[in-house]
Amino acid sequence: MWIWNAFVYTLADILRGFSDLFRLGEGLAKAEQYWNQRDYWMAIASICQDISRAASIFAIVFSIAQSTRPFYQYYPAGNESYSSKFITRGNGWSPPYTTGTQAAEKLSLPPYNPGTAVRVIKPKSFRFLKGPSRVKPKFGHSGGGIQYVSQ
Amino acid sequence: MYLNKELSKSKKNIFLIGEQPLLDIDDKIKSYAKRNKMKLSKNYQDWPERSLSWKNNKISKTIQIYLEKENSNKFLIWGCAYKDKLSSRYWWKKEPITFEAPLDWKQIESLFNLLKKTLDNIEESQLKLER
Repeated sequence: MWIWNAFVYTLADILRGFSDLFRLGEGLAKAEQYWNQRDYWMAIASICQDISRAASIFAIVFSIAQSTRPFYQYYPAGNESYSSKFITRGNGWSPPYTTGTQAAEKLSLPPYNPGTAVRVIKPKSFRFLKGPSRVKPKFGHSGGGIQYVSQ
Repeated sequence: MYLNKELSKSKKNIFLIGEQPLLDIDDKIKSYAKRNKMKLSKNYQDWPERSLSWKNNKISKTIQIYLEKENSNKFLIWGCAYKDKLSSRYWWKKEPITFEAPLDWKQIESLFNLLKKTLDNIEESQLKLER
């Protein structure tokens, strides 16, 4: 039940954020009126209202931008049929590690995968992605990279 | 071929022939892990391996035995201690030692004991920032 409630409240927050997009600046206009009426507390409260709207808009835009960042998979060059449920993603829109030694080290890749090539992966919609998590040391590698596991 | 991955339509039909020497000592590894309060994990990223992990002095420790490479009957045993601080990993590594299949549990157990003792004595000041 709490999961459903959390979902509904999150959805409501998102919708509220979208409606705020069109009301941004309303608080500032009100603040000017209150300021002229020398009601300084209300003027400050109106400005705070605008700030909170801006913050919610920023949160929505940020989360949409984050969700569009691609996932990557490192695989042995020439082996296009390589299949694995382990994928990774960096902070930006490019592969987080250089192919070869760095990828193998950071992602603790097994001996059959030297990570000499990288490709973009689009996880299937509605499939649960476990992560992000820090890669544990394996196969003589330090790990420490970021990984997601597609379920 | 020592490691023969026969990929059929179903992913369930993956035969890891290279895993056989590990399967032969699995019961012993399992009881060793239980005895020493270690967590046992298997076949990370579909590669024949067994990992024993535990924590002491707020430092994570791992001992792993894994198949050296495809078409090989050699297994490597290594261990490390590590700790994450913010986005950095600090660690200490013991270089791998090679064993040939069939695996002799007595030899492996004594190496496990040695590695465990070494890793348990590792202190935070000995950990180095990973490359």
